[in-house]
Amino acid sequence: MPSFYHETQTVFGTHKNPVLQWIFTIDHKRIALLYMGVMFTLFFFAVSAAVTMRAELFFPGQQFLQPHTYNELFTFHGVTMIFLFIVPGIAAALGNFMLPLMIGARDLSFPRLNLLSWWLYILGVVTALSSLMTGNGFADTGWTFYAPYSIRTDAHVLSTLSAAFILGLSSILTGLNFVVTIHRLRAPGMDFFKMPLFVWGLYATAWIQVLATPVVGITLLLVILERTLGVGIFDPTKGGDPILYEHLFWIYSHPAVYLMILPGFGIISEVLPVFTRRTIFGYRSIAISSASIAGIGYLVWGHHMFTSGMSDLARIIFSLLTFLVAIPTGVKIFDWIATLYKGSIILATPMLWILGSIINFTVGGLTGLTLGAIGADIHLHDTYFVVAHFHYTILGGVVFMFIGGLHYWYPKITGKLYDEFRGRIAFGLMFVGFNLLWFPMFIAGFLGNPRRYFDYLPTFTPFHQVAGVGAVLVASGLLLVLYNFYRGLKEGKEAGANPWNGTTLEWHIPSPPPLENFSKIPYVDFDPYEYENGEPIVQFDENFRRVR
Amino acid sequence: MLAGFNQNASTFAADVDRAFWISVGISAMMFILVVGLMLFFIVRYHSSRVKPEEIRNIKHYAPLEIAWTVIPTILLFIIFYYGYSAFRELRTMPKDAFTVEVLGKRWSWTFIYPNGKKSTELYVPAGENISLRLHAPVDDVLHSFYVPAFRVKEDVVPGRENHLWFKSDVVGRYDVECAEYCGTGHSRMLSKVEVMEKTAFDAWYASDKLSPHDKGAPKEEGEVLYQTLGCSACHSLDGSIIVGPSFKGIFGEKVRVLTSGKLRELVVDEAYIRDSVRTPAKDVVEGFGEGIMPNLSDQIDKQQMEAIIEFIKKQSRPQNKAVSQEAVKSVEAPALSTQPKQQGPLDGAALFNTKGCVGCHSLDGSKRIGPSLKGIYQSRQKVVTEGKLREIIADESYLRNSIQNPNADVVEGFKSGLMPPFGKMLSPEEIDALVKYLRSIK
Repeated sequence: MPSFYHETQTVFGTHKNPVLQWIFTIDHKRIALLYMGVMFTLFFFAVSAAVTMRAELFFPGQQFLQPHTYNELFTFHGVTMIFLFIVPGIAAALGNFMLPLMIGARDLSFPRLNLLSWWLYILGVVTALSSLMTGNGFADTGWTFYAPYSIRTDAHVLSTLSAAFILGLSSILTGLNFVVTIHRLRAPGMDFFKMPLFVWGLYATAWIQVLATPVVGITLLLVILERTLGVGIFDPTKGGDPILYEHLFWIYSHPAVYLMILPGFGIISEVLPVFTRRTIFGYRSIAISSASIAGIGYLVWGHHMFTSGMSDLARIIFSLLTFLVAIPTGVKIFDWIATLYKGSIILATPMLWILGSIINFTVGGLTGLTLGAIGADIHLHDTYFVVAHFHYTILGGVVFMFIGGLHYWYPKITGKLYDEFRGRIAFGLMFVGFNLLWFPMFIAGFLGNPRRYFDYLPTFTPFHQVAGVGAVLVASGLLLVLYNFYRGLKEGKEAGANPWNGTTLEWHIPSPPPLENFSKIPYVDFDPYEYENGEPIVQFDENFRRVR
Repeated sequence: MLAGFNQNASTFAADVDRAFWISVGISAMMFILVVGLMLFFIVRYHSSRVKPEEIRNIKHYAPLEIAWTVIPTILLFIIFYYGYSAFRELRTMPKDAFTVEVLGKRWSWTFIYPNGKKSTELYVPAGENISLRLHAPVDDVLHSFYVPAFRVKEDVVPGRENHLWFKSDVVGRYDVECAEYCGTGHSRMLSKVEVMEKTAFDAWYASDKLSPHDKGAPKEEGEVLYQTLGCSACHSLDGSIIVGPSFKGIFGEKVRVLTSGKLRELVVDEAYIRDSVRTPAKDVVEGFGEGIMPNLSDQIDKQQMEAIIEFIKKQSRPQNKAVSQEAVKSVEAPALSTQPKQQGPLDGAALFNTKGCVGCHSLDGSKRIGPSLKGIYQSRQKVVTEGKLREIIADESYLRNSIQNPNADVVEGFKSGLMPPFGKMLSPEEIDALVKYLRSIK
């Protein structure tokens, strides 16, 4: 059967030119790969920026960068990693590819809209990068664009915010597409509690995308009012309030954190049953906790502003609400650990990445409690402790989950197997490197090293040097992952439909999948992770009738 | 290397650290539980040790699920509580605090004391509540005043006033850092807070030295302004480029400037310096960024402007090696030469503020280092004279004597030896004006 690599449908009908066949495709699988290609290219640029900064920080004092260049580098790193890589992230790439496969659909509900989302994303990427580069030099505001610095600097804040707005629109459309698809296109028989947990993660994410992202639009509108009509909103010289900007920024950007992590949680819940050969523990509580994290996540943005001068009462309330998010998150982690109990654990590469991500994310989440404790946060706020905390959740957590997911679905996407040995070495490099890179930063932060410092007091030298070594290991681990995937494409063994003994629907169709995924839509009257004596219970014949 | 661990130099640092360690302790427990179990399961249930028929497909177990929802919730509230209680202490501003204004701007800190004294490092007496009022010029950017050793931090927001307070009993010097990103000089926006013995602080406070560590005579006004206005953060004196052009040899030089987008050449003269201080964006020296330097015109008066011009001129005179040495050489200068000479009739209120009286004596009846001067004239006071207590009426001669020889008759309950004898530092006319002013305070 020809796969989706061989035939496609485009928005304009048919094209002979393969490039046009890709960039105008309305096949969700091709669009997912388009996202992936652009995202990971940007990811590697942003990693290079990070490694450059680490090299500069290896010794105190100035090495080879100007302070201004350093500020531009971390702005580029932050903007690219957050807005261009991890926010669209797992949902746009793996979610786009897997969602229809996992619910037994032939595509998303609105394939053309899906393509529009990608084009808007590209437009957003171009606008963001060009707004960083035009103007009087590269933007140096940090990814948060705090007013009034962003107003005083020469950087083109208006066009950067426009980029955020365009990316937001792309995100809203993807979210809308996912919500409708999940509501309307589930295979017959599949009720909400028979959906795979990755789909639950995408569902919670999609709602955040639809509901939180419009705040970016509001902010942009206010900035336009201020800049063109001189209405004082954020600029104190016009009577505006910089703290209002912080509020609006975090009302979107905090839920965005959950938008990054929830699909990642979904990946963990997919990989664990497959490599323990048993059903997942606490399916319902994992599903519902995704939804409640998404809900509570709207109410905690103020914890980014504990030292901003916001009223003390508001700070206390935000602190309390912040702790509430930890409860469903903790429940998930306990469910995952319980899933290991009395299973048959196979330490394949995807499983290693997932287990590693649980360890890292646990550190990231628990240090989040320390930051949520408001008295302690006053001291730790805007220090390396915070930077270490969110790198533990986002890099050690989400990116590890992402890479784990890429390994897990690599055979489905490419039809080939990667080299298992290289995969494990890459994981080892990255896991050790990551912890060397970021753990010392907790201590440096506690001792009072503020973030975004081009230079530091000599007492902090050892921490930065250990981190420098870690950065090299992380970078080489990433390169090895990339190389492994490349070799897999060239010389990997044929994967077959179900190399891992997975149970969810995507493993019942050929790898790589054909154009419209399912020749016949299966009837799904079973739970997603059903094993018996370590073997999947449900088997289909070629016409998607259950044979077992 | 870990010296910072022991630096908890404020009265509430211990509570902040307790909140920190309780949360880290609970977290460590949870981490060991989660990761310990994970590693144990990985070893125990590794596929090499488990036969397929031994796998158990457990889907849920309510008691366990309730336990791991309820117990963490309780632990979370414990962490919240300790965070909250430390926070409450951090944010309950004491009423009787010694209040210092903090001006944060790109990229310097200036501290302004109640008596109008300014410094670039914060000097505070040990054992007293210190409250800070944090400001930034309205056209500046966000900063954050952070003293790791005190566990305090609060953003400095243009257009509004934020507050923080602390009390330190541990004499020493501690780092002040800017914690909110503010641009090129962010990581250099550092200062120190020095907690001093009260007597040493009072002596410095009543003096007119920029820093208690200054040797010899006070620096000239121009240099003091160069430090306290923050010029030094961007303009070097040795020809090196920090953010703006160096002051070395700049006076009388031809420079190319950008005037509303057009390049032109001008000579750095007095008029140009005046312009550059008042409207820095008008003519920006080629190659330097526009809009970085703040407009300083409302922070200095005419005389101070002259002092700045004089100071910049001096940097172009060849014999000038280093300014601080120059300042040390001019020891002969009378102690108060940096204060502008008053014109016309002397103003007692102004003297009260500029000569340092206000630092120790309130006018509203509140007790500071010295007795309040509210309604002092003709009031009954118990004073200690040569070790003996006696009662006097604070008449004109007592007031005059207290200024000239403050330690002769010290009001009961206050320390002797704190107030410097102003007899040598003030002219008879100035003392007359002060006494007249004190008589008027009802």
